[in-house]
Amino acid sequence: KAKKNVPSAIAHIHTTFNNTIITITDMKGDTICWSSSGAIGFKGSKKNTPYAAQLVAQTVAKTAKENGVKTLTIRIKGFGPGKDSALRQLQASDFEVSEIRNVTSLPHNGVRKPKKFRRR
Amino acid sequence: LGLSPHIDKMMNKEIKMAKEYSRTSRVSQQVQKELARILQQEVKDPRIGMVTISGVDITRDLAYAKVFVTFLTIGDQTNEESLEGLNSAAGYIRRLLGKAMRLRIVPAVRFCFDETLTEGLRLSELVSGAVKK
Repeated sequence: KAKKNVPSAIAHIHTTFNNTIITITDMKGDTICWSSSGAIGFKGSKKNTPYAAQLVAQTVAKTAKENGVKTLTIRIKGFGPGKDSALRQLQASDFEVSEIRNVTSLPHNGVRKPKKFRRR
Repeated sequence: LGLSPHIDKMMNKEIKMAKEYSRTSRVSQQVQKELARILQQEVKDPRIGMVTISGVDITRDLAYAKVFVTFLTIGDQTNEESLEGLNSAAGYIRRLLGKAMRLRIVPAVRFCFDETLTEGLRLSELVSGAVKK
């Protein structure tokens, strides 16, 4: 694959209670590289661990560097346990982190939830 | 139990499954999910930055819960200040947890800083540095 030379990129860290996915895109939103706990080889309950998130961040950081990424803006989405370790690993991977933002989507009391989530 | 070997085997398997996925582990997973949502949406203490819950330990009688947290501290804010903010809001958080979960006894929540994450990263860096040499 042709290497894209993108000095500034956005890292989207999407964490859920089952998995962690990290996608690196350019400033427009076009994907450069991505990885997830399942893509690395973890299965089942091991995918949502902080260690798995750390390995995902390492994998993605390595590919991002090959594509010339130097500065990262980080966007965190979700409530999962992997976000902190993924963030720390990205910071430790010699990137210049310009911004960290939490973009977890919250409804302003939107659509009606399924019965299971309406008990509250 | 003196029944047929096939039924004995099935019952042993069920007992093993119950031990592996006990009530306390199920409740602690649910508490972790609910607390993550509560801390992000309901608690607005400026002392508490971005909190990540790495694990929850619950006693067998479900009366006490030890919540392991890590922080993304901003500026001069220290982990101790954020932990103090969390523990001062523990009563309020417990009330919100009681509304979110249908439990007979709502566990009393105590927050502790999880050092395994930072230690693990530090050790991982040391090992990769040693391997490179």
